[in-house]
Amino acid sequence: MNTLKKYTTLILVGIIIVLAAVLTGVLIFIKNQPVEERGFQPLVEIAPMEPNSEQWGINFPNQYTTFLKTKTNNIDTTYGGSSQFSWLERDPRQVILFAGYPFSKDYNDDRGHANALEDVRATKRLNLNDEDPKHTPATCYSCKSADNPKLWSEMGMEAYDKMSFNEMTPNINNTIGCANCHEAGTMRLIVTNPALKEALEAQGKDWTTFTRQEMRTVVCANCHVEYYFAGPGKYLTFPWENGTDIYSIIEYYNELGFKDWDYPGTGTPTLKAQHPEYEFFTAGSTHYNAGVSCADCHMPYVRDGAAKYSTHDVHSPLLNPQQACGQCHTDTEYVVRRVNAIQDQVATTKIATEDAIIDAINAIKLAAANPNADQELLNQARQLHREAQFMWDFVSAENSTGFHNPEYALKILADSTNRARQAQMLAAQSVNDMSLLETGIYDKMDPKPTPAQ
Amino acid sequence: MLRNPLFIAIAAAVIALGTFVFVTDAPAYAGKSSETCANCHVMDSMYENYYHSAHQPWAECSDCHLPHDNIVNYYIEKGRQGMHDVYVFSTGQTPEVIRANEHSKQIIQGNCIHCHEDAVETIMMGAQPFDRYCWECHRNVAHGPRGASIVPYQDSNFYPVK
Repeated sequence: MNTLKKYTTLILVGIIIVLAAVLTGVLIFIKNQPVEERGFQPLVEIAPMEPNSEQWGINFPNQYTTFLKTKTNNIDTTYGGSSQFSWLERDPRQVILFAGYPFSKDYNDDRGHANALEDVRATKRLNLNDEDPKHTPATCYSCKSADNPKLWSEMGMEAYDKMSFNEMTPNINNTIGCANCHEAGTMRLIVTNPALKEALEAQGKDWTTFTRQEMRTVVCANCHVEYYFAGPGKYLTFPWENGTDIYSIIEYYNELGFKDWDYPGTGTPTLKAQHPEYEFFTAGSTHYNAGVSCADCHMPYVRDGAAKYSTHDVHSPLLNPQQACGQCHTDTEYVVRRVNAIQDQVATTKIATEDAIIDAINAIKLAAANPNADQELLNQARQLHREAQFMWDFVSAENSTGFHNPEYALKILADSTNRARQAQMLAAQSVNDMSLLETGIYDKMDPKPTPAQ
Repeated sequence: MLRNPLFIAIAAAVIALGTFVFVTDAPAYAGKSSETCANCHVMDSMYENYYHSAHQPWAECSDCHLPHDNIVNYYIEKGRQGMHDVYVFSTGQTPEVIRANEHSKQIIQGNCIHCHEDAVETIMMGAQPFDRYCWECHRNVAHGPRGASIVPYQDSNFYPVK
């Protein structure tokens, strides 16, 4: 009995030791297992700021193949789209409004991202004569190529912008691509344009603290913004120091005394608005306030087999409303009708504004030709013309025919029309001649203007 | 033994509790049938619009509203939420509009991913955290198009104007 008891103890101790050893072994085994990974497994390593999107495409075939579609997605919507129609032919008023500026020669609608490089090289607006002080600077490549992030980091944007377009051409081999918005390796969305980084900093914002959803809008601001070339170095600058709303931008340009060109005959120091989609959309639009990003509508998630990914075939959501709008709005047909109604309204109002500005230009021209004109009133008229034209262009050059922020578009157009009519009245007052109040100048023109040579 | 008051008390308690459990169908609350959640009338509209939604054939309330990472968490959370609802209801504090709170939203989001992991892995996993709830866009999938919805777009303070 005693021996059995002795053995029992031994056996129990033995069992405990064996169990402990097994448990330790299991724990060590578990700890040494590779971490389970889900999601994307890279096939090749992408060099930082790799300009060639084809390389990235090996790891991301879905995103890359949809990006390639932007080469051929040249489909139009009622008011915009991705074909290269001529704005000057569609609305000859713009030949008058941009008189004396290269935009009166050639102003085509934009095509998809993959065509950006080809199209900037083809535009008649370029001045490739480097002897001419007005030659096109390299800055015009800033939004056209995936080579830029690397070039900017190697040579700095200041040196980049000081070169001419011609001189920069050999360095630019790739159209817009992955490197313009993504960080290689992590694929994080990043700000690559130094001008955007500086403009955000000027407002006290640090983009690295933004969430992914915010970045799905902010990366578009790498390019889809209002900008100008500062100083003789043609340094790419966003006029955001006072804020990004239209009045803050006008205030900024007025304080700076910046002008893009002198309007012929009126002597107005005129501004050309670029494509302020970011400023426009973020100015309290209903979609922005609801937390919607640019990519939600322009790059909606699509399915390929079991996988969902954000399509990189960026174009008007009106061409795929089921995917672009339908995720949130169940009644897609209704919302598309609403978009059409909004764009009809903005397009019509925009034409009325253009007519008002053309009437003002006519009056200021006549007044400026009169040596006895009251110069103070005339200058006030010029200032109003400058602001009216920039405000109109802010809506006109923005690529949504107002939809990105409908109330804002109509408010700006109303204010622009008001300023244009005031400018016309002041011009008439400056020479005390009621005939300058003549309206409908464009309608009476025969023939209508054609693009300048 | 029958004279032992403790035995009598225990036997009485077992009989009383047994009757209670049988009469009130209490074990149902340990199960996962959605009809059980609708026992309480404040959940009528939630149940009704869930019933007509896309998820109805596939998922019960608990599939979305309780965590499924492990069985312990599942039952702790089930008990916690149950006690919370009983307390709120019996003290008359049920809100006019019932919405998921932050804690609940985390659980629901986890369950969206739990079931749809293959579909969303390239979206959810990566260097930049995904900072939205699925139903901010997929507004109708859970409680249908007419639902007493959990959607944020009706709450103006959800996305404050920046």
